[in-house]
Amino acid sequence: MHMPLGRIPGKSSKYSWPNLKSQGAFLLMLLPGLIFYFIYLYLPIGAAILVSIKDYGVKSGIFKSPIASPWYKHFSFFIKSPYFWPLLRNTMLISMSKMLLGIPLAVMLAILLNECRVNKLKRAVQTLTYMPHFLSWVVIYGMCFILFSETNGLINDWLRTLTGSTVPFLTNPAAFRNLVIGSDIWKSTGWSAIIYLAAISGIDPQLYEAAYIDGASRAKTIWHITLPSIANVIVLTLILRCGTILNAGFDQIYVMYNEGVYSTVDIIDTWVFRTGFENFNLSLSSAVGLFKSFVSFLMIVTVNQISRHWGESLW
Amino acid sequence: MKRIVVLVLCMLMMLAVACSTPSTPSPTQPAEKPSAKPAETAGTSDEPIVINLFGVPTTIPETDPVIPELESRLGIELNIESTGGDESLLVARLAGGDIPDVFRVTTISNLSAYYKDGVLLNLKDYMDEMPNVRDMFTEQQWARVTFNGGIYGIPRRPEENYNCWYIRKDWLDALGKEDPATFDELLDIAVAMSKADLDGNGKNDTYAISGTYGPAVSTFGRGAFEGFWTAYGVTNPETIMIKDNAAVLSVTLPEFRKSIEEIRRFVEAGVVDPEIIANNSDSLLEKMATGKAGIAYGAWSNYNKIEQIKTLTSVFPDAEWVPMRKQITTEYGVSGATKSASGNDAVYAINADLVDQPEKLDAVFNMFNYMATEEGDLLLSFGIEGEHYEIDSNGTVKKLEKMNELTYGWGIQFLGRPDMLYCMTKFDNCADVIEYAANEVKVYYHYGQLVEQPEGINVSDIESYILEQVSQFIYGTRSMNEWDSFIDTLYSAYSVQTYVDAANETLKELGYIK
Amino acid sequence: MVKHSKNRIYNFTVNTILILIGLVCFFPMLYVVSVSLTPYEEYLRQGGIVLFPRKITFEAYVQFWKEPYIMECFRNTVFITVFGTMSNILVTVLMAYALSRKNLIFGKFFTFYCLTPLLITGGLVPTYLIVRNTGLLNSLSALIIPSLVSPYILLITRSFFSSIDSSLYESARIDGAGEFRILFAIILPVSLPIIATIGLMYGVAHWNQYFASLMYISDSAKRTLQVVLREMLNRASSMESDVVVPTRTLQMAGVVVSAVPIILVYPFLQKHFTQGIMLGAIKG
Repeated sequence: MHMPLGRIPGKSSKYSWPNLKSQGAFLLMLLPGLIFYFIYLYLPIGAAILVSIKDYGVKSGIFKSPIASPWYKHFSFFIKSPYFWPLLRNTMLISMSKMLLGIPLAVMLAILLNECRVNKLKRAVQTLTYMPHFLSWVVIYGMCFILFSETNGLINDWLRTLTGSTVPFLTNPAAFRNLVIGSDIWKSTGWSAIIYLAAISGIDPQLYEAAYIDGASRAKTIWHITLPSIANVIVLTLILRCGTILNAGFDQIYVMYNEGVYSTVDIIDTWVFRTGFENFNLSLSSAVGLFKSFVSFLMIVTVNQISRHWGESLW
Repeated sequence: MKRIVVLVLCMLMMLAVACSTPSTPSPTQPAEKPSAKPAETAGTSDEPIVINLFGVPTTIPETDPVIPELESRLGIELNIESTGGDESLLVARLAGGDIPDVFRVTTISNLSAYYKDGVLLNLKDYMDEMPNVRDMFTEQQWARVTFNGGIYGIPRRPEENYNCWYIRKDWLDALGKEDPATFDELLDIAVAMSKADLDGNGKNDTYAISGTYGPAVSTFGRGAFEGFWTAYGVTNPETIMIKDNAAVLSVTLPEFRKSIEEIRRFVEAGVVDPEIIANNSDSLLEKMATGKAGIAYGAWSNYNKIEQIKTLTSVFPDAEWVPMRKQITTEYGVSGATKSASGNDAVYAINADLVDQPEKLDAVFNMFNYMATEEGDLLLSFGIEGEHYEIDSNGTVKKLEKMNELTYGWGIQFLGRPDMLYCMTKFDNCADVIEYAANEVKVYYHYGQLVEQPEGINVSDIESYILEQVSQFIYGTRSMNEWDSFIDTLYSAYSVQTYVDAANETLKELGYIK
Repeated sequence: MVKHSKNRIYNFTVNTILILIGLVCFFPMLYVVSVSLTPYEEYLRQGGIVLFPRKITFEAYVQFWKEPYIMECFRNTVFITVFGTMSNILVTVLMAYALSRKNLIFGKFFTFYCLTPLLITGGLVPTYLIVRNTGLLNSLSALIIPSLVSPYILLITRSFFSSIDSSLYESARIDGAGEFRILFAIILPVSLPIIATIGLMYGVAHWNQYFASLMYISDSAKRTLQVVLREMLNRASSMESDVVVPTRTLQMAGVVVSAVPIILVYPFLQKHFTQGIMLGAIKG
């Protein structure tokens, strides 16, 4: 979906008069956003970098607080924690699984909806799958308890009747990680499918008609028309998700986890929350935030490099 | 035409952003509160002095009559902001330089951090201006908020103990048993409850003992194993306790290991809910109500108030959740409750900059002093006389129907409350349980909340590791043979000794250790 | 004939899978609604498993409506959702259009500038300081202006614009149309699916936003609905003796009240996701 002949007419006139007029218009369009970016997104980043290398004191504020000695004190506090490697592993594993399962499932849902010829069914399923996005995790955990509890959960009730034994979904570390990933996919797939649906709806219907005339089956058109047409969006969302690879879902895990499953679902953000809770440690959380950004940056550059092979790149 | 519209819109957006940038409010006069200005410039005029009070832990409804009454009695205006107890909002506010006049600090270690930063007013020289407050608290309570000889916060009166072991009395009667006095008897009852299918659903799905698990601060009022630990004379595993006049980490004591072995006996007998660590307050209450549990640990305020009794009897109308009236004894101690020696952690502090506004400072001291008078205390605890309460001929406080509407009362009891009187009046239906928990259940104090985190040590890592491992020992995913190596890891990888040393030092300063 | 029956099998498979997926989402939602309508005692008696309410009561809704400042919070939420989303769309579309044009000077720099905040964010307190110093504290604009553009949505919009057939631009340019004219008269009409998508994303984000309201708004009457809901859900873990812990039915009623209005918006936007025809028609 990139433009093979995009620049041929305009190329020679990049700095000619009509083009300058266009550039002026572009800058005017960008201006409000650029100002917003600078004030509300960049200034706080600068402040966060300063805070992370200082011993932040509330009254002295960002500028007057003393530089920590050594300046990387808060970074090393995090990296030296016996939990550092387990945290990194858990965070990566949960986040990757959510991404690698979540994106294909959302694409599949979008395609299925597009293939559906019963309009009422299509609309109903679309609305239904989108609704879980609006439930808060507290409520979802309540429902998980009703389904998966070992003592009075529905599923273990059946298991007890059928096999006589029960499965500790909520206290077994491995089972619980699957529950975390599964419930997130349940909650977000319908929502993330919207973007792919929008992309599919931008495909020229004549492409399909031409394919049918050539005798292609409908299943084949998915492979040869739908998927290639939305490939750029899929790759784009994949790259953008890699930029937040160390956000494994604090809201969810904080509500759901317990001491028995720390070994698999304790993530960087929950650790920061617990550590910062007693001593409100702004410098530590800024340092960890920067560490996460650094990893994200590496990820996004790598993935972007790889994705250039498919002709999609962020820059 | 369209183009012009768009251009105008763009300009408007830019203006909105650009205009708001230079109008930086000066740090001492928060621009977002124009109402605060008259007080500062009013001088001797009749305008009431406005006091900004930040960090009230609950939303105060618009219908609240108590605060307006306080304002009119004192001739002040209170500008109250509630935060739901989220300390980060206070930190943001302080960082912005808009320091509220009076603010709630949730923990002592945060108080100490603000003190070091010079945010807090030293109240030492002003104690005579609020004699009632001075006399309200004990020396040890003042010691908590004293740093380097200065006093930097106003403590809160601690609450009584609410916690003890609860049992389904109707089940106990059905089994023809009595309250247990030893763990053998308790085990006997628990096994009988688990096996007898007393809920009559024909399924073998009752685990007699249920509860919740977690750090002492967050399971307070519920919990599960506190009864076991205290019977062996120890507190929650991750807490600092005092033993033989020295601070120790509870989990490292040999008695603690014995208590875990005791719990193992119950787990192996299949009478302990396998997912106590996953339970939360909702799921526990549902298990208790639906006959999935017969013994639980917790506070009367969670099980005995009228609406809770209604819940607990909705499925089994005969269900009777009552405190176990006998204490279980071992050679190490009697079962009871654990409690943080810091009492209710949150304290109120005053902005150091108020020295420049003597009138407002006077008003603040006057306000706190009034809250500590009997009249003020009655108002904040019980509401308005004649509306929420009345005083009978014997001079005792009697509850009126409307007192039940003050469910946010705890949020505005800035100095705490006369807890025993308060609970007995407000929750008169469970007076005997309140008295029992407060007077007859032995309380084991823990002291971790008083100790500041030593440089380079991560106390929360220590606590998480202990809680995680102890849960594994309890449920047998880790064998008791490995207990010693677990304790060794605590010392080697988590530098527990440094933490304990720091605790010893602090507790000596505060006078808990001689 | 063979093709016809093949098609029927195909349709049948697609529809069956969709129905299954729909049910997986339908039952939990039905459960939430049913619990909110069931008396709490009845809920417990059923062991928490209530798919169809046998007795109906609106007690929980009445109770939720008694939360302090609920009406004001509801109004605020609607206000920031409507006006916030409108300004979001305007600024995002303008930026994304400019960024999507290949002849934009410093295009790479601008893209990078817009991408970086996706990776690094300033965090709580620094952002608070900026919001404070731009004079937005305790006003509803603090919930709109600091989230004017989402880097994620901006990049997605840009990608959509750049995938539009470039012959559209060129024909317009030859007609002598200016860039604003091209954007509003030619590009936007064929971009309704993406406008609907980002509108939905922004709108839902505004509706669900909770933290900004908690941070920047100190006046109880200026908060948003989600703050009330969270506060209520968190109350369950409160240790205070006074607190009346909200029952499961009350929690569910809160969830229904705070989700239904925004869920109802969806069917109105839905038709844009099925109108790909327009784009094709113009191209052809």
